Amino acid sequence: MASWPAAVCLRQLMMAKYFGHVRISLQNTLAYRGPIVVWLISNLLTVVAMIFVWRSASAGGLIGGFTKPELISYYVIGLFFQWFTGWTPFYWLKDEIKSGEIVGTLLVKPISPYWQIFCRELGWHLVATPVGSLATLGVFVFARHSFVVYGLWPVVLALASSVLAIFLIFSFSLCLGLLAFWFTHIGTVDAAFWGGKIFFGGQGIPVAFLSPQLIRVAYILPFRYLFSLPLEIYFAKLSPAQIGQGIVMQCLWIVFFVTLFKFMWHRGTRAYTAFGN
Amino acid sequence: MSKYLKMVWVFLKLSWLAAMEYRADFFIGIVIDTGWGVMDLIFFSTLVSSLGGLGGWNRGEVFVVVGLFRLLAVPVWAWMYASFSFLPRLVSQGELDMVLTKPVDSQFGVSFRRFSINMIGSIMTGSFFIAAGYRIIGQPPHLANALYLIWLLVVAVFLAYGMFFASVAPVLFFDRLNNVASLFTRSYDASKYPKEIYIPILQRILTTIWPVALILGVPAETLFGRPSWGALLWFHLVTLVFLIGGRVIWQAGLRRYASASS
Repeated sequence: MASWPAAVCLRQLMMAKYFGHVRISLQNTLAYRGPIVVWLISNLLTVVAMIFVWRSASAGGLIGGFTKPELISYYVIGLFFQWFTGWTPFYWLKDEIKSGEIVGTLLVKPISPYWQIFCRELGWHLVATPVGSLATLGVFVFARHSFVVYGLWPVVLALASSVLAIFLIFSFSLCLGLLAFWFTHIGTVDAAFWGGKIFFGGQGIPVAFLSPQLIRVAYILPFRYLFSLPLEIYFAKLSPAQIGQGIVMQCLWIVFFVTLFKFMWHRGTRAYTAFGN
Repeated sequence: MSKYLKMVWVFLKLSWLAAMEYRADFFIGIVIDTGWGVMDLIFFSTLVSSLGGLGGWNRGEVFVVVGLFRLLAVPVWAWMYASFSFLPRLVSQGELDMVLTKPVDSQFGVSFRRFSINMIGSIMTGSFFIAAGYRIIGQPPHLANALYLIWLLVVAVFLAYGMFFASVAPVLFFDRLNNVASLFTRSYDASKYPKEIYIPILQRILTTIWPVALILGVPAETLFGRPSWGALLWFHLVTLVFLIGGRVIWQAGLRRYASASS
């Protein structure tokens, strides 16, 4: 009992360290707002083009299992999910490993590297997600006559699935970034990740457009659970059993990548050498 | 002029050496680049089978335009993106001094710095799309139209360069715009769709203020035997405006540039 207040104080001290990282990241994001504006415009360009492509379709009929309003809504909701689930520390993590800055920022800090990196991403997303939501709202107002909603529960479940997708994409991206411990040049790894996410993850076209063989591959790989699964739930394309299976697969992939991160971190920091910091 | 051409050749060789230094990365890049073409194939096959055509283009013409898109993606990504994506870092870390202090034009120095040599996949998939498109159309292009196309593709590359450079040159005015290169590449992705699918005000924007629709649209219309002399003249004029405009922005930025201690 006497140690309980001390344990609470220690817990509060640890949380304060993490909140400190969130605060610093938030301050950095607010100081350098340009990249958010660039991402906003870039994402809007892609989504607006896709909306007009499907708007040019003649009304009626199914296209790959989707109606025309569903396809338009797919890209509007997808815009929000891109901002909400786009937790990708790969870029700055690999740069910090290559430059040696990771020694000062992560290696000698007495806190969990996973949660520290998560807090740095959280600071960015505290600004980026509201901005992305506003952009989505603007596109929604433009495309509102074609927008579809299938009730409250699909929305709630889709949001829950997208929260899991955040941890999945974050952990996946971390593992890719840690490859910099062993390889000097890993640019194509990132290109492969985005290629997988756009092709098998449904970010380019719905997964339902793929051939049955490729859909089976998409169900096995983690990319579908990064982006397509929340959208399939939102559009009520899945039965309750399929939703349950999808959520379980998301959790399994999260466990896999978190375990892989711990393994890579442990091995990578043992093999790593840096200079000049 | 010969000095600059020799330097381009040297930079190409250096880029090739760098690519061969990381051979696995090089071959994976070819596979991924081919994969993008496969993705386009699946997407546009689904699109044209559902829609029949797109905007003012019939099924065959859609595939030909996508083929042209993949071919033009080679200079856009292998040359322009490869060089311009490093510009924000050069500016923010003060390494631009290494370019400015060289006895060559600084715009040339940042524009031809690097090349990506692994876009063979785009050449293959682009050629495949064009061949497939003409197979659907049922007749090959007229020789005169094909010759016009070669010239217009050269102009399209200049227009793409002018627009890309004008979009990245503002890094000299704003700090930490690390992702600014994505502005043009995302809008270039949208150029493979005909301008007719957009509402009139967007059509106007995409052919004047930010004329991405002209990059492929004008060469395509000429190839399909539907050239408009007004559009051709406008195409050349806009290219000139963006080439000069990008230069003006760059020079203005250099006047206010202060190195970050290299």
